[in-house]
Amino acid sequence: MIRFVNVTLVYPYVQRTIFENLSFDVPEGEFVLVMGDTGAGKSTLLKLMNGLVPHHTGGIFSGTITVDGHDTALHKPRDLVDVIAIVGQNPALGFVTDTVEEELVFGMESLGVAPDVMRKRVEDMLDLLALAPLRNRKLSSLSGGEAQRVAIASVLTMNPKILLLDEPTSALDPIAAEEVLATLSRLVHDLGITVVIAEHKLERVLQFVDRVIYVREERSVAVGLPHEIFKDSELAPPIIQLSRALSNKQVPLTVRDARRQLSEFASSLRPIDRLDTSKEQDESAPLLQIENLTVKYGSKTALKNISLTVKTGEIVAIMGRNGAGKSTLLTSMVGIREFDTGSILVARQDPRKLKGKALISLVGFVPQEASDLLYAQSVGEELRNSDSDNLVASGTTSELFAQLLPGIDSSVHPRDLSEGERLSLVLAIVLANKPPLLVLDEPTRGLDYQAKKRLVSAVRSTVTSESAVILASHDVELVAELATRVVVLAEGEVVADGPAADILTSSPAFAPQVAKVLAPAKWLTVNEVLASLERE
Amino acid sequence: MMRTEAISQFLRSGILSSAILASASFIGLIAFTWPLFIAAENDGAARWLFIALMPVIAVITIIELTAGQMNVKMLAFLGVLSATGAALRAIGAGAVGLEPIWFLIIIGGRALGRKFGFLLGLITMLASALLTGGVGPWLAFQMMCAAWIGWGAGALPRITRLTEVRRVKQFFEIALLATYGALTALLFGLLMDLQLWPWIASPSSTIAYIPGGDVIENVQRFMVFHLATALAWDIPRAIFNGILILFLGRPILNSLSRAMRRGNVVIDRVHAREQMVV
Amino acid sequence: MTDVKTLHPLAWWGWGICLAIASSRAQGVGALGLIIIAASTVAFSRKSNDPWSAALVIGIKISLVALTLRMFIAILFGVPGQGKVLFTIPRVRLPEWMAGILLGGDVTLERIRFVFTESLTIFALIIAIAAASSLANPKQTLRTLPGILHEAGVALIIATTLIPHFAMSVRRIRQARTLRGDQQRFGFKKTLVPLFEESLEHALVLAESMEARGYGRNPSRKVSSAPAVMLLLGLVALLFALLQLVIGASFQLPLLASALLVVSGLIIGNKQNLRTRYRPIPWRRNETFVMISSIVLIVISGFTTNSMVALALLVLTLTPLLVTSREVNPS
Repeated sequence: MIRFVNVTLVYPYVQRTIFENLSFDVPEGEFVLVMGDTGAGKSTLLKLMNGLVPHHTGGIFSGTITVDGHDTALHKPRDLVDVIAIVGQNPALGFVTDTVEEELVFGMESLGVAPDVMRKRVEDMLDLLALAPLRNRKLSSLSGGEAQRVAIASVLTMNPKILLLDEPTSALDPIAAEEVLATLSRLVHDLGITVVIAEHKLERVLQFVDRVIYVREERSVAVGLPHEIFKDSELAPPIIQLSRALSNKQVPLTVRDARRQLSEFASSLRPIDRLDTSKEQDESAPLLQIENLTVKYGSKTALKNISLTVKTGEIVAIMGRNGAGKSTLLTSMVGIREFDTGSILVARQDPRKLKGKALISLVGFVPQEASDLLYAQSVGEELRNSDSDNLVASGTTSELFAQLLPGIDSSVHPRDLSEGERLSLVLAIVLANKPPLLVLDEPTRGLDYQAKKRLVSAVRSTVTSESAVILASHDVELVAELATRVVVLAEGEVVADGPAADILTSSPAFAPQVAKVLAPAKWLTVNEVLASLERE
Repeated sequence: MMRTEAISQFLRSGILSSAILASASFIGLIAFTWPLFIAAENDGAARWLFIALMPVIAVITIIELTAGQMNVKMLAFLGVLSATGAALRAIGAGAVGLEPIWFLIIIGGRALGRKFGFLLGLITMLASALLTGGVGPWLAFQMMCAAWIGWGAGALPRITRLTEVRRVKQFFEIALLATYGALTALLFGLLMDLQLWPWIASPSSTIAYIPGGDVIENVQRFMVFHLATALAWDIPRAIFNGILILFLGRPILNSLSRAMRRGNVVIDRVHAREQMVV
Repeated sequence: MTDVKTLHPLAWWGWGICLAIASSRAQGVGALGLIIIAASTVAFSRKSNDPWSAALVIGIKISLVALTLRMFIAILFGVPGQGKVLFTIPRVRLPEWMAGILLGGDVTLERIRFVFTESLTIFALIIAIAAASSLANPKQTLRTLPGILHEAGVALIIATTLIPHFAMSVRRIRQARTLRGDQQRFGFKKTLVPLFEESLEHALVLAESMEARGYGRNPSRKVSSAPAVMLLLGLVALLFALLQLVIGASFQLPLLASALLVVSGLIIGNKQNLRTRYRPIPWRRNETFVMISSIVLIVISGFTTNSMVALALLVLTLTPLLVTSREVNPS
């Protein structure tokens, strides 16, 4: 279906080879996963498949790519819409119109499809992707998962044979991600569409996948069946890491496989004995105190009567569906949102009343769009600005940045950094003042495993006996790795609050893979299991 | 055979389109300035004719610049930049017309070329009026004026010969744009006031235009009118525009050219070559 | 006919433009006042809670400002005349380079009455357009544009959809700024640079998304230059007409010729469009009814006002009330 023959790609402005002599085949009707580190070229590979690269972006290209017999060098992407379709990383940015129904017909209208045919296809797509109740909704009012499904429907109306998706679940909560992936799997099984997706969160997609394209750091590409690739790949989801660590020969692709393979091991494993940290923390001082907080947007209540105390030394993860009120809670506690009733005290001060230096030396906040904090023309200028904004000795921020992420050229424009690098930069700026309370909103969007590892160690090292970290995240595995305590929000209320191990293992949606495999024992991560084995 | 080919080539060369824009702009200019030199016989008709004519002229220029002329990137840039401009208008310091909207039209026209600047002016004004309820008889006049400002920013000379030093060149460019921004802000105020003149200055006042009267005297009368009504607003706006461009012009121009490079955006070839030189 | 919530957007615009023409023809305070009151009644009782509905209030404010300014100028810079003197402002003569214009003098009742009547025309004109623009959904208006305006329509749809989005981005970025310890009130650089970067990134993604959905596969114009040539000829004819106008000669014939050329150029250009429209907004009997009554309104507005004419004006302006009902969006 998709055939690459000796494909080489060079971007003129980056002056480095993206791919060299790439050849592979993707058969028809399969669910294909493209995996690899950020910057390894996953998105570029997808865009090569439908010709956006190089037709749209430029670049020096040689070799041949054919999709369903069409040479992409000879056809522009717009001429291939009935063969191959692509949905970008953030589908909401690609919406042209205002409402769901208009978005679905946008492509067909400009192609001149007959009105009665359009009508029929729209109804078909609304049914296929379960969008019928949303047909008149404003696109701006859709949740992430709904927007993703609308974006898929808007390209499927052109009847393509291949569907490409760039990180379709990276911004979604686990439940919405599951829905989108199930929909994609149905497209493969019922309609015979070839689906190719690029994804970081392997644990989410692996169970659906027929074939894997592995783009390695050194830009060599391996293509194969999942159990071949995952035998020795550097990237692997937790269950495979666990299975490898126990030198199991088979590669488990689903939690069910792993449970079967590891049932014996699971029963032989001693029950976990976590250090009981709650006593220690009872003595430590409360850093953040929220009492009866209620926030309303017009008639809609975003947060209802929240009370929460965070003590020093804690790493608290706030979890919950999109729209559960996580961001509202975080922005309230850093003092940039007005609220109706209740009180918030950070180290006995109301953050709303603080400004400038006083505020930022108390709380550090990394917003969801981390780059909102960046405005300089180069990394070096940004770091210098940070020193003067924070009123700290010059060089402080750049020293911090070098610790978080060594070896970045300071003349680079901040927007040219990768997502993970940009996050490190913002983190360095925020941490320059050593605020006792660090608040992170969805820090892992678009981060690969390595960037996540760096984030984990950076966060761990900031938490001392005087400080605490609060983060909102959908990333179950990250939370399992990092958090000491988990708070689950639903419809603006706290529905669960407790030690990470208890909360994560008791909820089916938020359980990490290891917990699912080794249930009912409350293991969370591979490292935990291995550490306990070593102790024996 | 040769001849028809030559003709069709001539037609496609853009001269036709420039001629349409030029004559539309000339008509637009008359629509602003007619009170200064209108004959007494047709005074009553002119009032209503021009207010009806201006929207038609604006639509014709939009059609000429868009229909079949736009590639998908230009269209996306046009939509997004005019939305940004209109959003800036909403957050401007408000009351005295300190609107960063001009800033964007000038920078956009500078970075993306004359014709794009023209279009950006038209669409930014229209989109922001449509959404925020600013539609009225004055809208088409504002659109044309914004279009000229955008066009002019693209048409300003590029400093290539003066010096070889990049920093100096860049400084001169920004200084030029800032001056241009301040002057056009004054000009905009003047033209919009001129358009209001026949409506606001009642014929029974001593600062109204005299149909069929002496042009010089009409100009003097208008200047008094302008002094009495809008000049106080125009001067702070001009200063604000200039300062905004002086401080923000460089980073925003850089952002634009970076985005164009990354997105491989080619707006028109002649312009692209100029861009490479700077 | 009660199932109709709102009219076709072009019908609203047609109604508004007819009102504007009628108010340009109407004589006397009574007729103009009726049109103003009736148009605002329709707009106030039928407007939704969308942002563009603010047009009416904005229109009223602007016309009030215009009215006041006009009165003020007429009083301050009055031409001396006969009549009952209300009060007197000391006379000042401006210097010669300002044309020696006279300031102040007697203010007569007649002058104030005359200027007020004149000003009402402008008031009515602005209200008519504002009423239409507060009632016609701009996004639906864009959907009804002919094919030749398709690209412009798409750009406008993108723009109008993104304006609220960017306005929100501005708020978000400003919040973020306080979290870098910034205390400046405006701080344009720290707001505008991130906003710009975001919007440019948005533009690139949008372009890709449109390309990948087949946009631009059918160009809307390329086949011939005939329409453009006709447009140019039309504009040249128009220039000639305006020249005649300015020098005081008869301009009607060249104006008509130019209108014919421009319209036929646009129609031919429009025929080259190959796009289709999904579920176009229907034009029903109600719309036709409103249009016919609006055209009758134009005719009647030229008559001298008496009670019959006034009643007719009122009823005809209010016709949209008969065929629509209030639409409130669940926001």
